[in-house]
Amino acid sequence: MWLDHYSPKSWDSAQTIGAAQACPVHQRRLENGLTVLHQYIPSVPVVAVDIWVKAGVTSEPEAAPGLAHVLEHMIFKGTETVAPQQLDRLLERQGGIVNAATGYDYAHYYIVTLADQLEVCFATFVNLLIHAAVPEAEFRQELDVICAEIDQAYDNPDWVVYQSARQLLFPHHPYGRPVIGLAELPPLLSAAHTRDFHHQCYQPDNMTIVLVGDLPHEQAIDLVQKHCDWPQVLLGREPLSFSPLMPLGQRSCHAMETPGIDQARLTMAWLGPDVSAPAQGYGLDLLSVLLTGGRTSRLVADLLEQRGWAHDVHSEFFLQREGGCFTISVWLDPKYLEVVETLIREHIYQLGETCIPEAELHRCQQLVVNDFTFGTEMVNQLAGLYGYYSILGELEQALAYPQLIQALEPQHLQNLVQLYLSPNNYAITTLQPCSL
Amino acid sequence: MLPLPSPLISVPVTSGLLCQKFKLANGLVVLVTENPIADIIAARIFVGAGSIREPENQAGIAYLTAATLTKGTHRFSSAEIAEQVESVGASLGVERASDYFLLSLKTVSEDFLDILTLAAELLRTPSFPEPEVELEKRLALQSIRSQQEQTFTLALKGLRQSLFPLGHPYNQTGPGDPDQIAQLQSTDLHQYHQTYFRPDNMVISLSGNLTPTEAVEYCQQVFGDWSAPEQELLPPQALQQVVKSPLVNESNLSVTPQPTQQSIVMLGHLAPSVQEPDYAALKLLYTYLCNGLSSRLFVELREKQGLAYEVSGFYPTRLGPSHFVVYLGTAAENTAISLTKLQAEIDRLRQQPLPDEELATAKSKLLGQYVLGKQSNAQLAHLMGWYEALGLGIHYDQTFPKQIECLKAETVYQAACQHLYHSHISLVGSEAAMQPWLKLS
Repeated sequence: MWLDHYSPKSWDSAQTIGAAQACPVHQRRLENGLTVLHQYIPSVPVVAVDIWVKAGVTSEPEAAPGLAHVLEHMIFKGTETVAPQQLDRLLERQGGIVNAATGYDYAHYYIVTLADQLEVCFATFVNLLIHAAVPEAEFRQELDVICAEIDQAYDNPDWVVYQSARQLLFPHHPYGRPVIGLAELPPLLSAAHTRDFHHQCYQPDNMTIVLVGDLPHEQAIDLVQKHCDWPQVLLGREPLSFSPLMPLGQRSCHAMETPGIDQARLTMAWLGPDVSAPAQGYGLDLLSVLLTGGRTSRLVADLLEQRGWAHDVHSEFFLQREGGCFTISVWLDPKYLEVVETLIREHIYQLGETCIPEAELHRCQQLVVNDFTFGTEMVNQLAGLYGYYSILGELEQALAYPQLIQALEPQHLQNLVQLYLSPNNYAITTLQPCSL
Repeated sequence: MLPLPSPLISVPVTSGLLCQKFKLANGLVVLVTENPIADIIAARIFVGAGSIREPENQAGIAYLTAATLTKGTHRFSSAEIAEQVESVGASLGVERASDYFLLSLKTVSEDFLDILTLAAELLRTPSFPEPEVELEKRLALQSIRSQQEQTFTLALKGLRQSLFPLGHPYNQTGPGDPDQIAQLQSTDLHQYHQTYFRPDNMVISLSGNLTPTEAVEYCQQVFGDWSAPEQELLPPQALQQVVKSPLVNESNLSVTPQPTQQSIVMLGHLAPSVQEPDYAALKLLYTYLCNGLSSRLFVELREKQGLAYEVSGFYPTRLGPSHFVVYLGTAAENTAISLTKLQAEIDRLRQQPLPDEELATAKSKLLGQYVLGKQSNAQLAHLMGWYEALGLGIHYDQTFPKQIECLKAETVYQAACQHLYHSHISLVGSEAAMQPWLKLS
């Protein structure tokens, strides 16, 4: 492990990014196993705190899909010393924000606050995360809210198509089900299950706290040491293990229909590299830009601008610990579904057969690198970035992202296409309008 | 080289940063906020040419102009323009809003002048090539058709149509009127462009790693030889006042059946423009009622009653009569109770003034958010340019927080009484969920 227990580790300024050109990122692992990341940026009187926990869908017991997300809601329902909504009032009273999200490999919770209000907000915030009480009455009530959230998701055709493609791509893995759970929550899910899950997963060695903004380093460390105390530290947990992910051996298709929509959708998905090969993941980021990033990109130029067969097209690579997900999605007239799929396969085939011209590669590199720079201007964006890569165990690579993107060569990318993006074997979901 | 003109006015915007206003001889306003922290520059170029300037029977021309402005100039094709922007990894986008037309760009500092030069060419000499106009018309019409896929958009559409008269620019949700868009030609776009795209109807707001001297020089270089036409600029024609209908009647209820799991319940009210005295009071009421996890609606309807996952509202800042809207998404069987509760929350504001402590909390929240909303270069460039383009001036950045601080409970109460009565209602949901209201509408 590259974490250093004794001395804070930092990178020189050349490796830091975005708004933070002059400020190094410090990383420290405390005795209880908690990882702390800090960056001092005094230019705006604001601090972002982002706490990442390895407690996403992949940590859920098999019988309780949706539990990680339920806990994310219940974290805000108070502890013995903090009332529900106390943090919301504290933070928002001075314009701050608080929110949370659950993913496949993590859950994360963040606040943004004026620097001079930080301590009381921080203390309340970490208290909620460490000592969550998950009260029974609040639990019943919140299940209604979560059901409303699930209904809202199932009303969104884009979400439905994406989830279906994931299901085809990851048939025997938690990556294949929705983060919020299936259409119905498990009927026996209880507050006690949720408390157990919290106790198991919200342990210091399973968490990273990121602090970025107008907060000097010593103060950041003091703050964490003063307010982050676990009642009992649970050691020796076994992470759940899943059978290794395998790329599809054929075209795996799901065709759906629904009333109430006007245009058809198509999402194609491929299994990408896991986090142990970050440079490969970054290569797939670049390929997604080459395909759909801007008007000069291959699919936008062909499908939208020249043929007029699609209303919109989007591609992205989603990095995940055990295997990423590369998708291409198209919004189109139903009559073009088949030809568009064929055309996308031809583009993928071409990418595997011939090297990308230098000028095109250069353009994509500029787009990806600048997008990264533009997307890391604010303290909460930086905190999110550090936390995400830290929880995936690849922080150093994240800091070197622009250099790694610039170092990509046409041959690398051609190899990646051959390795991951088969023109024949992929998951595909289509959704078409139908009458009631 | 000409000496740098002295700024007309300077305003401190956020910790240590100053926004300075300059005006070129042709009337073009240049705002600069020098911010050397990161090596990037954001620009927001506002043109007084939004939906409120659309000629009669051309609802959608502002949208179509935005969609095709980057699709060709007298010198460059669509592909060449995209190539210039994307090869340096810049971002350049064009959009139209209700009250203005906006070109946004962001680059690393060394590419800025090149991309600003391109932006100037787009704004000054677009060619609106016929095939590109046809392509974008098709996409605009498609986008109007697919509005039915989003329940929230459908609800908002129903609400706006009941709040604003037909033909009013704020009646629109989406690109515009499909029949009128279908009729638009390249020559119409040229006509619209020639009328409103002129240096004395534009504000360029820059924020980032450049000095005021550089900023003014760059703007002089790319826009300085563009002279304003002789004829006077017409004021927005479409901004007539909207009369509140005096009685509750069926036209205040919009019901849209849609095969969905959830129902959307939305209430709306005509509300003051940014130029009216009650603007600050309504912003405060919006913050109190709708903004964030500690807001009244969130706490009462979601946290205490579990009626919704999403419950919120909005009160957009507008040159003309705006709207104050609250809404939630709820299970079909809770449609009626949600409507009752939402209405009760609006009515409550007219029953008695907010207690001092709640007023103080809402003020402090609004003022804090205002500070937190000025972190990135894009945010700074946008805010200052927007104030200038709305005719409020950059000093409004100081005025607005003062107005909020000075609000008294009685003033806020009077504003609620005056504006938040006679709710317009818009409902979207399954045929079964909508049944009780379909009979009424």
